[in-house]
Amino acid sequence: MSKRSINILLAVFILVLSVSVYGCITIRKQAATAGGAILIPGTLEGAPPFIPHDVEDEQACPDCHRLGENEAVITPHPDRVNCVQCHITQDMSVKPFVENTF
Amino acid sequence: MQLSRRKFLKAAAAAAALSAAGVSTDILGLAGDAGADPGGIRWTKAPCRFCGTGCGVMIGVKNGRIVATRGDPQSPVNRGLNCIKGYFLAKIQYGKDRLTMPLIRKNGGMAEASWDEALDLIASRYSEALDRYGPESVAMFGSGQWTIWEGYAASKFVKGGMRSNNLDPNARFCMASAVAAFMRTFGKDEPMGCYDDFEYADTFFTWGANMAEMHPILYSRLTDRKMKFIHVRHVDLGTQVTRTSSSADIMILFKPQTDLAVANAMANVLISEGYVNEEFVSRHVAFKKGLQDLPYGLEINGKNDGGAGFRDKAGTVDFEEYKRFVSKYTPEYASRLSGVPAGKIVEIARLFGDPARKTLSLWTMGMNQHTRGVWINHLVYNLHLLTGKISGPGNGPFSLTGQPSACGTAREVGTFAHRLPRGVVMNPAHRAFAEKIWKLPPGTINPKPGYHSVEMARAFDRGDIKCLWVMCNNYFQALPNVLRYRAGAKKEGRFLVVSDPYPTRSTELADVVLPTAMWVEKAGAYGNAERRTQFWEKAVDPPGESKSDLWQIIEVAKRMGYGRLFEYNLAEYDGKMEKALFEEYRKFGKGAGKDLAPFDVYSKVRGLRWPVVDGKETLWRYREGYDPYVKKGQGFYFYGNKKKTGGRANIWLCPYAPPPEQPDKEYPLWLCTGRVLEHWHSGTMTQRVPELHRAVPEAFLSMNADDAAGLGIKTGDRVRVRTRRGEVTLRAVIDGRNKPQKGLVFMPWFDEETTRMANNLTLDAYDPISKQADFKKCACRVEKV
Repeated sequence: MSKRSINILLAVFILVLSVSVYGCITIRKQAATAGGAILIPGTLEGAPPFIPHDVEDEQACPDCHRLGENEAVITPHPDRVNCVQCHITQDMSVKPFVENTF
Repeated sequence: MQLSRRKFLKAAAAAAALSAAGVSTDILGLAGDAGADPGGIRWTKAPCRFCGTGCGVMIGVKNGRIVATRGDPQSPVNRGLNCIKGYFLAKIQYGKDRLTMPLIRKNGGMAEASWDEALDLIASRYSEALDRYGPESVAMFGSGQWTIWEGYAASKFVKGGMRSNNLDPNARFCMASAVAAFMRTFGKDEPMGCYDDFEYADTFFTWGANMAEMHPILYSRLTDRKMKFIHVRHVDLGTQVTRTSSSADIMILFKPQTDLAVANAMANVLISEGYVNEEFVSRHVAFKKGLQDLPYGLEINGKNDGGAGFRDKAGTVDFEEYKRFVSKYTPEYASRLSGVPAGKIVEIARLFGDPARKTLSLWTMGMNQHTRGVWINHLVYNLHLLTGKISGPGNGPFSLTGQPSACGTAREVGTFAHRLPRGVVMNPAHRAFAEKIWKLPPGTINPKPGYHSVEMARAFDRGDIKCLWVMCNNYFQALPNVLRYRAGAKKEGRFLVVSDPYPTRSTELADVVLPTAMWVEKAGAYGNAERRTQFWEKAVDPPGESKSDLWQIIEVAKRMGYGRLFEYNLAEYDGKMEKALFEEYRKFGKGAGKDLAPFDVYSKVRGLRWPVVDGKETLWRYREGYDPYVKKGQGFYFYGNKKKTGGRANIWLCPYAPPPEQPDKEYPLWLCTGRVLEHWHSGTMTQRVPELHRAVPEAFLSMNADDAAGLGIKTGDRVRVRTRRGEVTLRAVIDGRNKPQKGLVFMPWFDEETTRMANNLTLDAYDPISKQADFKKCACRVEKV
């Protein structure tokens, strides 16, 4: 198998994993906010998935995402410790600054 | 802090286990090679548009639009990884409000105009000012985001054409202090090392640098090194705990400005405890002392305090005098000033000096945006020179840059008010050299330095500058004490031109707005913080009638009668103006320690680190075996100082000096301004990326928990911040990503909303040597709204 197809397979795997775990985290968020959960749109191709829940301690990500505790997505790259360098939260209640035509 | 450190170690252990098991952790390595892929996407390479790290990205183009960007796995800088801004590069050119037509102020509003009309107007207003008031009445404020040839063309146009030296870049706000100190210490600018240092260093010192947010990819290289090798240590010095502090073994929180005392005390410990590399010092170091009581670049009752035209007067001293000088800075004395326990200062000095460890110092704005920025830069170089930890793998003082071509364009081309592509305007030989290459009559170039950034705004405010062209930056959001200068720009008789892809706080003040092609809408070249020159090809057309800065400069120059400056037989350069300019520019650096490869070479490689001699790049300058300018047997040779000190680097005697404004009863807190990961500079590009905007939609005020409790403020509360200059209203954040020390608040400056602009508050004091403003320190008051 070529490196590219391995990469694509991996990406699909992670996507499926993200989607399947998304539900439970949404529930947590839903419970936390009276207005109910707002769907976060998908990220760009090749870009890292968003964080679909509130972050209280941004150093604490590995607590759940290293081994999948609390049904969290297991990070495929535990060697990268500054998680929030690539994974960001999305506040969907924010008014757009300017529309983007990408 | 304790908790973060523990978590960091846990992650480190996990990583070590995984790599031992041979599991690939490279899931993000999706980027393809250049060329077309089966989806009909054509891939091309470019350096990232944002910071000075210079990450490589692959850009996917389909039907004339960017459809994707990816980290370039072939780039030696980032090896396929991006930060979150980099992952969203594909969107920065597609904000719906792109400017597509030139605009001219008419009857109080902005009216669309043709390029001819706009360019003719600019040329006639500039020519008129030159005729009536002379070359000091015209100015251009440029950018460390200009491509190399744009900066070069600007220098040629302003200095060789208009005979004015009123050309300065926003890089003056960014790293002028590092430049001045590099020049005064080594006789040549820019770090001697390169990013390979990250994989060799044993001890990392971050000096007021939040790399985790501002240079995330380099921070990844730091943490990678630290996780793989258990002996690696990280010391974080700053005025607040940041994301970068999470990997620190030792956190040094000092009171603003007292880094001067801490660094001197470290030197004192190195000397008194025998950590000095005597052989290195005796062969390669000289000692200098300049004036000790300097102005602050402030205007008091409309009169400059002497900072504007300040020139230091330096003399040579010896090691004994230097020893006496630093002996005053005992750890206890530095502790009283800084609040850092004396034992901690001793501990980090010993760690720094340990001859068995390689030490890398990293910094950006914390040290550079400082009214004594040149001094603190010197004081850190001093530590490296005393211990001989310099110019070799893993050892050295490494100033990082905030803009993609602060080095390649602003510093190397020399788009500063006193600079030429080689040397300075004050030096007759340097002027003659430029005149020869530019084919100008002798005596053309003006010997008097022009206005530097803050003084340029003051001169425009006074009316001494009549015409100002702001290009590739957001001057009227970026200036300290910006409300004063915004008012100045609105005065009668000021002609302001702003070139930008988007409407900004600067374009709204302009008389002419020029729609500008950005990033890969044109061919370009940037130089990053490790001296790596990187090229890219034009990938897509700019929208509407947008044109590159290069085209705009040349068209105005032609209309003012300076067309000959840009007349080349383009057939010799494959029809490319960029190539003609670059090949000419290359002559300035050749044989002068700044050799660049031919234009065509850069199209093929992922950048090269200058000096490039005989096709080979240079990883560590001034060191035998690495630098082609150092001969066998010399060991080290600081050839920038060949004439002045016979090739020795200078240790400078720089004291502690208080900042010009300090908290008092009325304004009891320190205000520090800065950035966040998700936004870049004034937010013009990143705020238009919806995902980045939704992550950090507005500027906030980070507060210390005790300060907030004392004022009855909780996270999410609206607070008003006031200084003697202005005010902003923000949401407070306590224990967020920034955790300021008690008595200090922090806010980012990306937000262009006028009620949240950081520079409404900042003080326009600057370092009198580098002329760089201090955006990190002023006194403020915070109240709950």
